[in-house]
Amino acid sequence: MGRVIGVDLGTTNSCVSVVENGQPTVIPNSGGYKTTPSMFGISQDGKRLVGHLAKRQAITNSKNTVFAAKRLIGRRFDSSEVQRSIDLCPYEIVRGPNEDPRIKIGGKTFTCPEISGIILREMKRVAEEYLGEPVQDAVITVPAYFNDTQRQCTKDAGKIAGLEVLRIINEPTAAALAYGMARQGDEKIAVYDLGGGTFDISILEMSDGVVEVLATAGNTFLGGEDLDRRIVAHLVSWFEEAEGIDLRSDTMALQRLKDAAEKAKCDLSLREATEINLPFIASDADGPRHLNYELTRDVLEGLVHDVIQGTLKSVEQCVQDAGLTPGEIDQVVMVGGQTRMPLVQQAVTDYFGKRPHKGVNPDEVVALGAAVQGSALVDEEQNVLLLDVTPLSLGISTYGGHFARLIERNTTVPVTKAHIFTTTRDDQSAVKIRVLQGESDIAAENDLLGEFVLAGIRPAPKGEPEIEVSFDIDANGIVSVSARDLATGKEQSITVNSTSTLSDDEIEQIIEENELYEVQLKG
Amino acid sequence: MAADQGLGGDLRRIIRLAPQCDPTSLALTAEEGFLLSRIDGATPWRLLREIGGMDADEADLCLEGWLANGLVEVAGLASEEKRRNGTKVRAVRQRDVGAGRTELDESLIDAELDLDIDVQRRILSFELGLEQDYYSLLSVEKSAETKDIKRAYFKLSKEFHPDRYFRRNIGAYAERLERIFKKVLEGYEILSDPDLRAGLDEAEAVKVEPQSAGPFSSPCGEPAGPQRPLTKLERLRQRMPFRIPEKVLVERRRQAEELFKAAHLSERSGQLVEAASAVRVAISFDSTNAEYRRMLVDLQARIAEKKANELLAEGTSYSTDSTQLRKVLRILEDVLLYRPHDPGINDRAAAVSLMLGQYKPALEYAETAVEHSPEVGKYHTMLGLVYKETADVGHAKKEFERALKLDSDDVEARKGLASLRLGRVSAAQGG
Ligand SMILES: Nc1ncnc2c1ncn2[C@@H]1O[C@H](COP(=O)(O)OP(=O)(O)OP(=O)(O)O)[C@@H](O)[C@H]1O
Ligand SMILES: [Mg+2]
Repeated sequence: MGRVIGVDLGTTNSCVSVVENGQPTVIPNSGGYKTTPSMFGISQDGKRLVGHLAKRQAITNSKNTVFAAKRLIGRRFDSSEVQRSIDLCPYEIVRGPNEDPRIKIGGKTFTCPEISGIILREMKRVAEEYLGEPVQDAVITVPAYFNDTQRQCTKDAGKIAGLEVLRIINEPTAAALAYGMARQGDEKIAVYDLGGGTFDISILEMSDGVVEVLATAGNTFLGGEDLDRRIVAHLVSWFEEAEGIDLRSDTMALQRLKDAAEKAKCDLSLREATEINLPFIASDADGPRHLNYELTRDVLEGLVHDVIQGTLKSVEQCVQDAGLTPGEIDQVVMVGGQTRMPLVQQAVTDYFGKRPHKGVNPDEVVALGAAVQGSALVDEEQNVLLLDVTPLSLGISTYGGHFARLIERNTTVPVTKAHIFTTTRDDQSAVKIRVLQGESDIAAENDLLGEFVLAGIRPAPKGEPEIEVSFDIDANGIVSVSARDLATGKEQSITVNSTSTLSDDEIEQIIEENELYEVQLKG
Repeated sequence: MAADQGLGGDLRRIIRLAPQCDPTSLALTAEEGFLLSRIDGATPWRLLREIGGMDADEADLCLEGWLANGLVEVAGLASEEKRRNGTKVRAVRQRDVGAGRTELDESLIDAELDLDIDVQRRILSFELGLEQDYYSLLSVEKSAETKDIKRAYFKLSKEFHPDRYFRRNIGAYAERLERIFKKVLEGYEILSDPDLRAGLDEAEAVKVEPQSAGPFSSPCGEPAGPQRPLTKLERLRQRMPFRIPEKVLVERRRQAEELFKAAHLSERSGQLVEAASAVRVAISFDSTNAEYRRMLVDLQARIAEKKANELLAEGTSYSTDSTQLRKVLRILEDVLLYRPHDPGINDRAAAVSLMLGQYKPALEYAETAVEHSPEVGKYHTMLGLVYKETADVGHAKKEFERALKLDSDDVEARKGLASLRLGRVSAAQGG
């Protein structure tokens, strides 16, 4: 049987890992790097580039280089997140036929699952080269706050990459698995994950190989890149004041600034000050201009202070949801490159009243955990069990547009939950069951997953009929809902199909198309 | 018939629900549900037929049927008989012994499966005890602390979580594991919640059944909010879809047919409500007949329609009463549930929505009416009126004109057109 790879499909970087001799190991790519930029580009001469190669051309060919596609996947084109990305990204984002955002580079339009699929295929290739055998199965991680559609699209990406996705698990959960498999005894841990594009916080409890998720919170649109943008904005206005030149519409300059900002930010995790040097950033009648600026840690912290504080609000909510106090957390695990920033470390230390755990590599731990879950599934020897949870609440819409939760988010699966509902007017003969997912108490603000009608209810005064609505989530996360009139035994039910932004036909077509490029990708 | 012999069977038999019963779901009457809920693997047949809520003969018939099609199975004989037969059964661990559930069905063990025989036994025997109280299920003391409960839950999870057997050929054990894990999870959730646990302990102490549905609020097409946790009977029903014995079915079908005939008679004499209730009873006798259901749906739609018409007729006299209008709209919506494309109903729903100032649904209804009967002028007029109200003059004009083309006597359309012109004039003057 082939081995299961674990893939951390990150906003900025991706990482692949596998369990060897009972231990998870990160697989380096052919350049020797343990992470690969989540970037895809098409070169001037029409070649497809992935990872480091794509990153290399990002400055000179930014219009044709895709980064941070994870921020778009599974969202609607009209969503504010996509609209924000349109303003920020040098590459073109267009409206797809399914109201999904699509990316147009090199004269071709790509769906988001396709872009992620291309990156996953690269990770698969890295693993195959290292293992010397074909790889088929994978566990892929997503931010805890990804909704059903975003998860389904990530699954589709796996399919496009030629992978069978055994499970989609949450990034912080994966981190906890990797951290916890080596530990003994009972522990409650908090995983604080600040990556390039998402912030996640989870509280987990582990004991003797069993990992239970107690609570999760976070923000799918907050991460290191937001800090980079703050720095860029700062540099642009400083340059405008100093030199009288506005760089805001110069994509090439902006891309260079973004790059330099990120470098400076990382530098400042070790140093108190750093030099930003960008020769020939612009020119006017007086000739070329250079940008020369010294950024200090103090200034940086001033620029991003509120963003970091913002993450603590989610942390607080999460600790509360878990029914704990900060002091009851035994261990804090930091995940994601951005947690290397001293300000982040400080904020987290202050909040929990203890220093974060030092033993894990924040860039690799998520992929390691994904591999652990993969082997826990297929390998009997692996003594790890993840008690996974549903990411969002499920329920139905009730009279007055309210949302009645039947399964709260963070409920362990597999699970069945039932409740008795009743009619709301005399002689009502049918009820409409609208199945929703989300956290709002207002039905209309949640996502509609499906609906059906239970008819033939015996005429009776309102409130008398008893209609039992039952939600079931099986071990593979498949949701089915049924409604039964307890008086007549009449029943209606549906299986809720996860909605993707792509149809099966579209996926097949993409797989075929991409096979043509396989050779090029390898070459 | 000897005193201890029911319909060809021993009344001392103790039956229990079969773990692998046929999932072909059929309707369950309240009586049958009640009878089923009494089957606990401890109560002998003799008692079941007394307390089952139906005639003893009927209960016999029912139980025999269930036995025949495998919904239930014989667990043993009451009292002395049991001990004699019990020896050949493999000893079950103490913790798994629930009230009366002692025997493990060895025939369910399948050496072909990718699952240790011992593990299979363990799963089967644990499943026999699933209906025990939660403390016994998790094997914790009544006084156990939350952390002990959690530890017990983790331990059982490691044993029974379906992921432990991912992708392995374990046949029907997959469903068993899922059932077991869900139950263990339920026990853990309840026992680790102080409020629920206290409630449970209290209920145990006084042995009361969970309360029935409380008072409810509110009217509309959607159900009212959640009311209460499930009773044991309801949970049973949820888990145990089952078949009714053939003998009973034949008799019921006959009764259903007669009721159906009666319903037709009532319908022909215009007694729709009577007809509907007859069909409803027919359906409760034979829920598989699609014809009955079609008739019921049709009748319900017509009843609702009639009610809507009556209310509508009243409504014209005081059409400003929005409570009345809302009531009418709800009934119309109800009719539309059955006849979503009926242009007449859609047209009326549009009119009422419009009066209520609900433009978006009004537009939808009016559009549906036009879409399904584009040749009827007054539907265009209604659509025009909706457009007019939403200040979409261009479309309004088009619809009114179309209406007049189809029916040059349409006064409403003419009025509508005229008012549009007026509107434009005044707008022009204003601008
Ligand atoms: N030494 C450092 N100091 C500060 N920030 C850093 C450092 N190293 C990396 N980062 C930042 O971390 C971010 C990338 O983190 P990471 O690779 O964990 O994200 P990701 O997994 O790709 O994204 P996500 O998990 O949000 O999908 C980038 O914004 C990067 O600038
Ligand atoms: Mg990450």
